[in-house]
This record gives sequence, structure tokens and C-alpha cells, in this order.
Amino acid sequence: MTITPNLSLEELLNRMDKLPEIPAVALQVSRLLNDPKANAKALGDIIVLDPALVAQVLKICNSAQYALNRKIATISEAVAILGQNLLKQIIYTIISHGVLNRPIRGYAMEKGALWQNSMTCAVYARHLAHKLHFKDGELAFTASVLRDIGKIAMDSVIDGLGQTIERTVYSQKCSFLDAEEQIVGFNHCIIGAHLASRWNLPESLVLAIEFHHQPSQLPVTAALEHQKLVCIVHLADIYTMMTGAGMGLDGLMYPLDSHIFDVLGINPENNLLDQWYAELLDIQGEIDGMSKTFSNA
Amino acid sequence: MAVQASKETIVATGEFYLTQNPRELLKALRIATSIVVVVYDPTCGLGGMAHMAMPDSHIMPTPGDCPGKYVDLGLPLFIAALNQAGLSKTRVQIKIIGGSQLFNFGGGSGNLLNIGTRNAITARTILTREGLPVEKTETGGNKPRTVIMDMTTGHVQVFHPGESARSL
Repeated sequence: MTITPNLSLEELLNRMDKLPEIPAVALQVSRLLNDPKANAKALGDIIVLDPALVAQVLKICNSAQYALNRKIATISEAVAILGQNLLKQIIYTIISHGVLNRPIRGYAMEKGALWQNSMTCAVYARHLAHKLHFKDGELAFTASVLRDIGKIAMDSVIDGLGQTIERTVYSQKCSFLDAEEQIVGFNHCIIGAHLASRWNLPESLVLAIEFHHQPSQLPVTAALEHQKLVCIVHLADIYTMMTGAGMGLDGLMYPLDSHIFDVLGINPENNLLDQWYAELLDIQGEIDGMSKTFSNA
Repeated sequence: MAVQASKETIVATGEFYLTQNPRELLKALRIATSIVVVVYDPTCGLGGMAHMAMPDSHIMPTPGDCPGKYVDLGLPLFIAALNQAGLSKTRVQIKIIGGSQLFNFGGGSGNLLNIGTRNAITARTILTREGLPVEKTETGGNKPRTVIMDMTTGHVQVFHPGESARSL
């Protein structure tokens, strides 16, 4: 059964009543952050147009999470001291908190569940990026925060179909993602990627959102750095599922894609993946700290 | 008559907890591949819950910040604490819950990260070795579970996200 057989993805997105919005200034900032020609002053000039965003950015920059040895009082200082990559991560996470911190009935996630799930995956991805010598850990963090943004758009569509999708998973022996596509016509990754494109997010984030459950499906023409990013987000997502953090009715109904071992150049034998999981379990305090910092900002 | 619970205690990963307070609820939230062992002794109203995430500490050079996350370290400590508190091995009610698995119908990733299954096996092996009979288990599957034990009676409830609670 497909409930939206005649709708294009764009039509489906336009019909959704709970489509997440992001503030206009945040959108402009996001575009500017991806413009290599944009300078710190231009960025500061845009952010100051939104006093609430300024307050949030400064509060987070001065929180214990970033352990700076001086107080940051202005946006231009924040840009200068933190650098564009870290500031980008902070701003995307602020934007995401507003979007993700809501109940998603369709996936049986109460308010805060998706946020907790996203923060866990983001912190795990940053650690894995560091371990795998991936150059931009903050990008891995941001991609993980945003990876399930499509679930919000899917909420009203999937509501009430959870058991039907689950039955399809077991009868067809397919992942929740494939079952979702069979029943609804689209899956949350495709919808998430379209949302990200609408928001003009960079290609790296769009790809990570679309392929985080199936890195082996990523086009072979994708840049190696994009492939690595998607694989890191996939592995962080697998570990997040294993913890159960903020999980909904789709549970652990997604497979580990062994393609990631080739792309990331890792040998999964000899307990390596178990050892990494043990290490990640020890950073729960960091996850709680990040979650609290952004929730209170 | 049921006693109204006045306290809720969440037992997080790597922790165990004992109590004889009949007005307390013990909870483990959204356990996925982790394993939870719940114990209740009706003779003295002693109960407890242990929440562990990995079967074997020997995969690491040191147990790290939270040794209780390993079944082979955390469960013996939990049992020792129960024994010290006066647990009766003949009347005790023990249940094992959790040990979910990543979806692997295609078999592409083989037995990699099958931690849930190994957690359940290790927990049962240790309990058997200690002479503690397991009354009931609910393990495996591909969904997380929330576990609640009511210390008034030792009644245990389990539920998946979006589903009703079931007695175990």
C-alpha cells in the first residue's frame, strides 16, 4: 500500500503542515557560512540582525563546553576566536534545536527524544572523525545533528502507519527505510535531503542526510571527503541506535553497511568496532553537556 | 491494595541500584543492545536493577571510566551487593530484558556488533554460575525497550516506543 502514489516529492513537501521552518537570519547566516568568499565582518553584520540568535551564540560560546580562556562579548569576537568551522557548527546546532526539539508522533518520539538522539550521534560522529583523521569533525557533528530532519516532515504522513511499516519490515525482510518507501512512497532520508536543499545547505550535508542509512548507495562520483563524511555519520548512527538514545518505533531496523570499511580504511575484525563502542559509551557526560548547553541557550 | 509510588529512580547504563523501599519505581529507559537484570526477593522486599551495555571487559586494556557497563564486571558486583543485603536465593525472582539487535536480514555485516545477543548470553551464564535461577527473559528483536519495576510487588513491565506496557 502506498498512500501518496500520485504526489511528487515537491507536492508532498508543500502539503505538509508541520514542515520545519528556520529563521530568516539563520538561513542567511547558513548561506554565508558556505561562501568561501564571505568574511567575518559580513557574517557578524548578518547575525546582529537577530538579537535572539546573537544572545544564543554568545551564551554557547561562553559556556563550559568551549572552555575559552576569555569572555566573548560580540559576534565579531566569536567569529575571530572560534573560527568559521566551529561557529558554523554552533549556529547549525542552534537552528536544529528549534526544529528537532518537538514531539514526533509518527515515530513515537516524545518531545526531546529526537534532540537527544541527534546530540548523541553528533558527539559520536565528532569522536569517530577524530579517530579516523577526518579533517572536519565539526562538519561530521553538524551532519549528524541534521541527519534525521526528514522525520519531522514525515511525521504527519507516517502517523498511524508504524505497525504497517513494521509488518513490511519482517514480511519483506527489508530495512525500515525500504519499508517506509514502500508504504509511504518516500523515505525520511529522501525528504530530509530535499528539505536541506531547499534551505541551501551545502552538498556535503545534503548527501549525509540522504545516504546516512545506505552509504553504499552514494553515487560513485561523489568526492572522497563526502563519502568519508557519509560513512562516519552512518557508523555514528549505528552506535547511537545501539544505545537506544531517544529512539522511536523504527528502533534498530537498519543494517550496518559494510561498504564503510573500505571507504574509511578500517578492518572491523579483532573487536575493533566493540572497542570503539566501549570508548563512545564513556563520553556520555560530553553528550549531556552539549545537549544541556544548547537546550538552555 | 496497591501502594502509590513516591519515588522514581532511573538506572542508567553502567549503573546498578538496590532498594527495599516499597514505594519506589525502578526504571531503565530505551534499552537497545544493553541488558537489564531485575531482581526481587519477596521475603524481604529487596529489589534491584543492573543496566549493562557490553558483555566482556577484556576487549579493552582497562575498564575505563565506567566498569559497570560490562556484564562480566557489573553483574558480579550487583550480585555481591544483593547477597550482602540479604538476598534469598531460593525465593528470588530474576528477569533479563534487552539485548536487541541491529537489523541484519541480509547478513551483510555478519556477526559484527552483535553485542545484544552476547550481553544476554553472558548475563545468563553469570547468573547460572552464581546459582541464581532466571525466572523470565525478554531479549532480542530490533526495538528498544523501557523496563519498569514496581518495588511494592516486584511487578515488572516492559514496553517498546509507541506501544502499551506488558507485564513480564
